[in-house]
This record gives sequence, C-alpha cells and structure tokens, in this order.
Amino acid sequence: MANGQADQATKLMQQGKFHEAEMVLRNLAAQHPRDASVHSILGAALAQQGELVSAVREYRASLALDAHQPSVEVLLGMSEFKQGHFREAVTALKIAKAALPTDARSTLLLGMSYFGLHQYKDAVPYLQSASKADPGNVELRGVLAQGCLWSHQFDCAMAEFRGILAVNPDATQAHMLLAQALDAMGKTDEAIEELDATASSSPSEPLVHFELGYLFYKKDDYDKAILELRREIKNNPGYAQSYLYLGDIALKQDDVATAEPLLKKAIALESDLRGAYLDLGVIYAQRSKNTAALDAFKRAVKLDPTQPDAHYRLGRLYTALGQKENARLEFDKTKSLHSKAEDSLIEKVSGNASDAPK
Amino acid sequence: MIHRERFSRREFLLLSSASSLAMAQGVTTRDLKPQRRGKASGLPFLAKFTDVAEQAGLVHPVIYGGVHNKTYILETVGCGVAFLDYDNDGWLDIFVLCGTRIDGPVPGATNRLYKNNRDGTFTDVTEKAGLVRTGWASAVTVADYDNNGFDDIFITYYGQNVLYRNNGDGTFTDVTRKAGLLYDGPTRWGSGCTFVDYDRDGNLDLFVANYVDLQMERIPKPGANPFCNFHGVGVNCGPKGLPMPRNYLYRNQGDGTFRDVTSESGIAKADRTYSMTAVAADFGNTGWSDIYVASDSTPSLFFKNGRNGTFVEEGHQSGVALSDDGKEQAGMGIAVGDYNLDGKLDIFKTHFLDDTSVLYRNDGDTGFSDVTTASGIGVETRYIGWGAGFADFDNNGLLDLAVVTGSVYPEVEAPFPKYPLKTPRYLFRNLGDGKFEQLIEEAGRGIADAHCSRGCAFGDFDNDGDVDMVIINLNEPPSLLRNDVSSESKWLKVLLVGTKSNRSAIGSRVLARYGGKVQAQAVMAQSSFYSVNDRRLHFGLGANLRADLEVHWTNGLVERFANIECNQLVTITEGRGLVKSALSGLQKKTSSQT
Repeated sequence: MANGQADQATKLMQQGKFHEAEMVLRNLAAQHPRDASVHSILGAALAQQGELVSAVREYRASLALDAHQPSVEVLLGMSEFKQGHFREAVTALKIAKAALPTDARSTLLLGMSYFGLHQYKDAVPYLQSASKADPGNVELRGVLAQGCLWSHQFDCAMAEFRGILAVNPDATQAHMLLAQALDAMGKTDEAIEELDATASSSPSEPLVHFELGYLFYKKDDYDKAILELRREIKNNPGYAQSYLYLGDIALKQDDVATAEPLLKKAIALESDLRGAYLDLGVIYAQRSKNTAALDAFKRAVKLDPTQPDAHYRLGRLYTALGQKENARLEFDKTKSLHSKAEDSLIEKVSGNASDAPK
Repeated sequence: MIHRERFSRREFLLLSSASSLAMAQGVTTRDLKPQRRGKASGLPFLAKFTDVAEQAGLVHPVIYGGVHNKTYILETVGCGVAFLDYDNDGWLDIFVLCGTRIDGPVPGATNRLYKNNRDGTFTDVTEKAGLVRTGWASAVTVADYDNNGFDDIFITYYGQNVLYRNNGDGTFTDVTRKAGLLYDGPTRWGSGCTFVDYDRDGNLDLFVANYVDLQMERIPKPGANPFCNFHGVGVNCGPKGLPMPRNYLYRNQGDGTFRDVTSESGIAKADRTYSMTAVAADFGNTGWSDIYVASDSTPSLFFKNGRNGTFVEEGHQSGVALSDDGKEQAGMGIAVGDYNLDGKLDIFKTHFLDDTSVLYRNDGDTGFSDVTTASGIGVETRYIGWGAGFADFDNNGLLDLAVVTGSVYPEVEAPFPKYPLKTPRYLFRNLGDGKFEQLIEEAGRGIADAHCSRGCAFGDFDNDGDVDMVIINLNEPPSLLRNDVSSESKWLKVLLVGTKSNRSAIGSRVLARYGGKVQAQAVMAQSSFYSVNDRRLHFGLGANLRADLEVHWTNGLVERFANIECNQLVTITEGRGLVKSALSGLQKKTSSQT
C-alpha cells in the first residue's frame, strides 16, 4: 500500500470522514488491486456508511487475496449479520472464532446469528459466554432467556428471566416469557398466575391477554379463553392469532356461524395462518362447499407440507369426491410423514438402546 | 428488549400434527380434554351389573407382570378372555388367558378353562382339558377350524403361538406343529388374532397380528430416555420407538394344516404398525370378510377383501386409520355393532388416556365417518380403554357400549394420584338419536368398581336373556359381571351353524328387523380386546314381540325368516332351516319364581 495515501485514508477514517476515506481507498485499490489490506479497509469505510453489500464485496475480495485474516472475518460476519444473512455470518464468524477464541465480538455475533437462524440450541452457549462477559447487559440476557426457552432449556430460561426481573421487576415481556417457560414445563397454572399479575399491572400490554387466552384454550376453559382473547382484540385489533383461536374455539363448540368470520378475519390479517385454512376447510367440507374446502386444505398443505393432518383431510375430501388417485397421493403423503416420524423415534430410542442404563 | 418470533410458539402448539403429538411417553395420545357433557337424560337404566366372580368360582388371579412396577412393556399389555361353549351343552364356558412374571413363573399361573355348571357357578377343568400352559399369553380366537362340530382355540403369545384342537370329549390337543404353525425364528410377540374365512372356501383361515418386535436385551429401561417417561416418572418404554413387526395370514388348506400366505395375500404390505386387536367382518356388505386391526400409536389397518384371495390396506381411504383430525391414536380394543340401526356395522375403538375412544359410523360406499364428538363419546378421556363391546344391555332395541379400563404405569399412581392403576369400567347408553350417555355408578357396582382391566367378553353365561360380561383384571381374579335387567323388554338370540360356510359361521351377518328398525350383527371370532364373545347373537327388541331375520352366510347364501317370536334362542343351520329353543336359564328362573 502506498504509505502516503494509506495514512491519509486512516486519518480520514479516524475523523469519521468515511466517504472521503472511501474515495482515497478506491484510488488505492485501483493502483494496488492485489493488496488485501486496501480492500479490507475499504470494506470498513463502506460498512461505516451503511453500504453493507459493497462492504461485504470488499471483505471477500480481501479474504480471497489473503485467507488468514480473522479480524476481517469478524467484520465480514458483522456486515452479513446486519443484513440478516445469518448463515453467511455464521460461516465467517466460526472461522474468526477458531483463530480468536476469546474474541468477544465474534462470540456475541455467533450467538445472535444462530438466534436469527432459530437455531436456539446452538445460540445458547455463545450467548451465555457473551452474557457472562457483559453481565449488565439486560437486553442480551433477554435474548439468552428466549434462546433457552425456545430450545427447551427451561431451567436456564427461568434463571435468566428471574435474573432480568430482579433488575427490572416491571419488565412486562420478561414476565410474559417467564409464563411461557412455566407453561412449557407443564406448570400451566403457575403460568396463568404470572400472566394474571402482568395483565393486572399492565392491562394494555400487547399479547398479555392473548397469552392468557391461549393458556385457557389449552386447558379447554373456553369461556375464560374467549374473554381474554376478546380483551386482546380490544387492545390489539391487528393480531391475527386472537381471531384464529376464537374461531377454533367456536368450531370446537360446533358454532360454525361464529367460527367462519373469525377465521376469515385471521387470514385477512395474516395470510399464512395454516390453522385458519384447515379449520375453514373443515367448515366448507361440512357444508359440502367442496371447491372452497379443497382450496382451503390445499393452502394449508402448501403452507406446511410436513404436517400429515392437512394431507389426511385433503385425502378424505378427494375420497368423498370420488377422486381416488388424488386421494391416494394425499394418503401416501400422510403415511410417509407418519412413518418418517416413527422411524426417527425408533432410531432415537432403539438405536441408542445400548447406552441405556442396565 | 424481547425479540418476538414472527410465528409465536402458540400457533405451533395449536396446529401441532400427529408427528408432534404428546410423545414424551411411549404411547400416543392427543392430549385432549373431554368434550362438555350434555344435560343428563334422566332416563332410568334398567340393567345392573354385579360382580359374581368369586361366588361363581373364578378365583384364580390372572398373573401378568409386576404388581407395583413394570419394567417392560411386555408386562403391561395383558391378555384376553373367551366365552365359548366347548362342550356344546348350550351353556357358556369361560377361557381365561394368563401371563407370567419377568423373574420367573408364579405357581398356578396358567390359562384356565372354567366349565359352566349351569347353576351360576363354574368348575376349573384346565388340567383335565389339557390346557395348562404358562407364558405370556396375549389374545385368543375361538372357532371350529376343522369343522368337526367342536370349538377350537388359538392363542397368541410372546413366544410360540398355540393351536388347540377340541377333541370333542372335553379335552384339547396342542396341534400347533401338526397344523404347520410352529415357528423357530426370533421371538415374536403375537397380539390380535382371528379366524376368518377370507376366501370363502368353507375353511377358517387365521389372521395373526404382532405387536412389537421386542428384543428384551435391547429395550431401554424405564426413564432411559424421554419416551420412557410419563409426566416425568420413569416408566416402561414403548411401543413408540421400538421396532415394528408385521402381521401374518395363514390359509387353512382343509386338511388340518395352514399355509403362510402373508405375502401373496397383500397382508405383508402393511408393515408400519403396532397391531393389537383384530376383527374380521363384512363391513362393506359385500359378502366378503374384511379385517380391521386396532394399531397402537400408529394408523389402524383396514384390510379390504379383494374377493380374489388378496387384501388391500385401505385404512386411510376408509376413514378408520386415524382420528377425524388426521392423528394417530393408541388403538387397543374394538367393538363392532350397528349403533344407529341402519343395517351397517359401525366401529368403536379404545385408546390411551387424555384421548377419547373413537366411534366410526359406517356410511356405506363412502367409508366411515368419525362421529366421536357428535355422538357424545368424547366426554371420557380419563382412563386407558381396553376391552369394549356393543351390546343391548337393557334389551331396549338399541346397542349400548361397555368399556373396561386400567393403567399401564403402576409407578405413576403414587406421585400422581390422578393417574391410578385401577380405574372403573363404564357404559355408554344409547339414547337412540345417534347420541350416547355415559353411565358408571348408574349401571351397578360391577361397573363402578376399579380394577386394572384388559380383555373382556360379552355373553349370556346364565342364559337368562341378557348380556353379561367377563373381564380380565391384571394380577387379580377376573370379574364376572352378571347383568340383571329389570324391564320387560324382549330379546332374541340367534346361533348360526354353517354347512357350506364354515361351521362356526364366522363372517356371517344377520339383519334383525323389529319395530320398523333394522339392526346388523356379525359373527366374529375376536373383538373387544384380544377376546371372544358369545357366538350367539343377542338382539334386544324393546317392546316388540317378533322380529324378522335375514342371514347373510359367509359363503354368500342369503336366507330370510319372518315373524320369529321373542325371548328365545333360534339355531339356524345354513340351508336347513331354523330350530327354536327356550333358554334353560330363563326357564329355571321362571320356575323358581313361581
């Protein structure tokens, strides 16, 4: 790198003049296209300006010229993470982490990237390390707690939520997620108590009544569920799942006239609610509105083809319509999905039988 | 601070599919709460059940696995029982299966044959009959496989299944080897079994289900993984997670031997199942016997008879493989009967707790519909259901249902008293409008008393014109529930004897017409849970004094008999007419009253 221009670029970067630095670095890059450091610094200048796509291009150009730059991998990972490219971020950050095992940034970013990928079990160890290094970061504890909750590590979730609440007893969402953790541990009544208290102190908090409604729904206490879901709709009229659950309850109670508009409303608010299509399909099939029923079941299948129930219902409807071949295809999918689940269990249980305690 | 997922887990739970059912245990359940009970009908129930087992002499316990702990699933499933008339004296005898213990046999643990003394008591004739055998017996099917006029017995085991030929002199001979049914491969766990004349050649063939491919040395111990737990308590593992075996069909060659036709008949194609009870009947009114198998935690199987020596498994197509919402259920026992009086055979199947039993209404050509909720069956989810039967207990002309129950996890009772080992039986009284009403205490102490029950059989052991029950209780003597009906309702019993068809008439169907109604019943060689009912079909007639009968014989002949008087047994011999006889038990009751 030409020293004079490099010094100038560095000085501009330090002064926060990233655009000017970028101009100098682009000039340098044109003169020295095989200089890895020019590309990496140019990437940093671009990243500082929010030009993350260009930044990533420069980081990758730099790494193509010199693959052993863990700090550039961290920067690349960060730019990918900021764009929501979690998988690419994980790839870069894992390389960085291998070379710089104590690097706090890559630890935190790895945890957050896995979290973004919904790979909560993978996220938790990194988030735990990052949280240990930064114990005052309540927001990070919140993410960690959710990672624990959604990876079914309930003891960890409870500890983190309780830790957050010790610092901030009014953290409403922490109360709500604590309730989710309690429910997931089979302590549904305790979860209801937790949510009841939250609803009393923060009656307008979005989703608190929905969460309560859901728990009552789960306990088949439909009267209370309806009450809470209606409260949620009053607070939060745009939340589709409240309508979905109300519709499902109505259908369970054979009140099709009430169920149908609720389910339609749910879909109008959120067009990919599989359960609403499934329930509507049932209603249409009952009324012999076969075309509408077919459409609804097909939509449910399309939204999640891995669930056997929609395939089964579709198959039954095809059978009723005399479309035997279509029915057979759907039943084959139903059987295949059940078999897959059973095989997986057999592998888990009997495949590891030799490890069982004697 | 908190990042909320776009799809909350709430939706996931709402929409969880069969593959994500409550499977942190070895048995599938839908984790359902009972449907809301309707207003009680207030109608009196005129049948009362009293357990008379002890006074009748049924005193030997049915040993089956550990009492307080069950390490292996083998100890939990239990066995069946048969009502049969092995000596053709017109009185039902009782054959009770038995198991053993993991740590070795218990003295006196054997299957037992109790001969009816015609006075309300029985004599244990096991030894004399040559039926002493200790082992893990599962299911029984009874019929005259060699058409010699006497009922034979086939029993499935964990281990070698056994065929006993009735010699006609009060004794039986083990003819398993001679019949070609000896098996020397890895141990199988035989489960449901039924005689069936699938090819209508007049010889009874044999369908044999297997439950789990159980390799004792490889099965994880209680608590070894999440599937060997129930609410956090370590319990025996399975069936989920254990390898699946397949079912077999043996063709009767008419010379006392059977040939394995599992592959050529198409039965082998359905190999994804933990099969339990098997029933054979003409569900499609085609004149050919189909086979329905209750499958535990896997889709139940409906083998539709192809009328050419083959079967096609059409459980999904027929609507009897899964629940209405497309979920697997823990199928255990099966009842077959025409609850809605439309001349077609409906199916009732029992399941695990936190799930309902299922009632499938036979809609004819379009298959079956799950009417569990519409019929009110969904009010009960507390108990694990096993044996079950349709029978008109109060003779009012409508088929009621009975279910026996019992837990599989004795270890769970102490930490969770809401899951006791012993639980009551219950009835569903048929209200006649497509709906049922659950009765427990109202049907007498014999129903309300709690036991850990499994198989049960239905029949009129005291020949007094109503349907009684015999029930297997694990590690206790059986229950013998005497039914005492206090109404004047009429009834009619029909015994079929095949000539061209198999002599036991297994697979035949009778339509009884009375008071503008028509009721179908089938002659079957297994139903309930691993059990065999009285082969005499019992029709309650309500206030009707007469009924018309239409017999659809297994081999296709249809015969009609008009204006048959009530309160009697009619024996119909294929192509040779009908013989009427009063029931001797009823005569005695009448004479003792006068």
